[in-house]
Amino acid sequence: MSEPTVKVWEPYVRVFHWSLVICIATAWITADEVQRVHEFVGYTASVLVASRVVMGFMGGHYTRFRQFVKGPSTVLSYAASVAKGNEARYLGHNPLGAAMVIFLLALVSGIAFTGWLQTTDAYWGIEWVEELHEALANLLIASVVLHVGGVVLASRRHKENLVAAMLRGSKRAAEPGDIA
Amino acid sequence: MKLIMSAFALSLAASGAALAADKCDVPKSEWQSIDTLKAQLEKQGWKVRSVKTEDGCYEAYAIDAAGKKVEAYFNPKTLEAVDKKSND
Repeated sequence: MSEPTVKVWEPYVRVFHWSLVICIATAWITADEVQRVHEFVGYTASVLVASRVVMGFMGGHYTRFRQFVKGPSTVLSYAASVAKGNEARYLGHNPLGAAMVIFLLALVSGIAFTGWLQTTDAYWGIEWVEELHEALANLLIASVVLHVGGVVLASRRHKENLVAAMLRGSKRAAEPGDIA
Repeated sequence: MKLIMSAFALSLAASGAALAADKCDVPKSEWQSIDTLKAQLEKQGWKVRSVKTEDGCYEAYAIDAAGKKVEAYFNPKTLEAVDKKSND
């Protein structure tokens, strides 16, 4: 018999997540190369982030910011338990993952904004804007690597495939000690 | 997926870059300075925002005399325009 599962990630979250992945990958590949595509996926990414902010207030249970965004003390104590190897399993985003979600959303907004800025008359060809755009993009790639590392670690610790969960939407039901 | 996108991006990019590179095949010792290029462009009424080198060409971002944003490539020896993109 298969284990009982629960729906955690609603369709919106999954479509948002993988669309943003495609936009970021495409923007990275086309940077300095295929300007029209680069701008299109950049603007698409900013629309995706805006929609995620709206859904953070109006979406389903596990989509809402108040379900998963935690204060610094919770994030730090969770990080300490990860280091000790005894962190609780969260059905939604864990506190560190949640901090990463917010950081990634902010980074993508900053990158989209500085990208758009370079198309305006006032900031056309202004080097510091371009440099900031690139520095933020490099930071984003580093953060994505960290994000994927966190996903792999949490998947191993709790014996579940979190990538599959982000595709299918369902996760193993909460067991004693888990945080639903 | 990534492979397809990379191949697509590269093929598009290669066509543009190769075109400019052919026209800017000049040994470094024969290059004129960026300031000379800037002075020449400003004489034409351009406001030069920045000049970089790309594929052996000078790449200038500027507002031209008509107030349009331009991204233009120049042969670093002759300072002739080899490619120009206007963004509106």
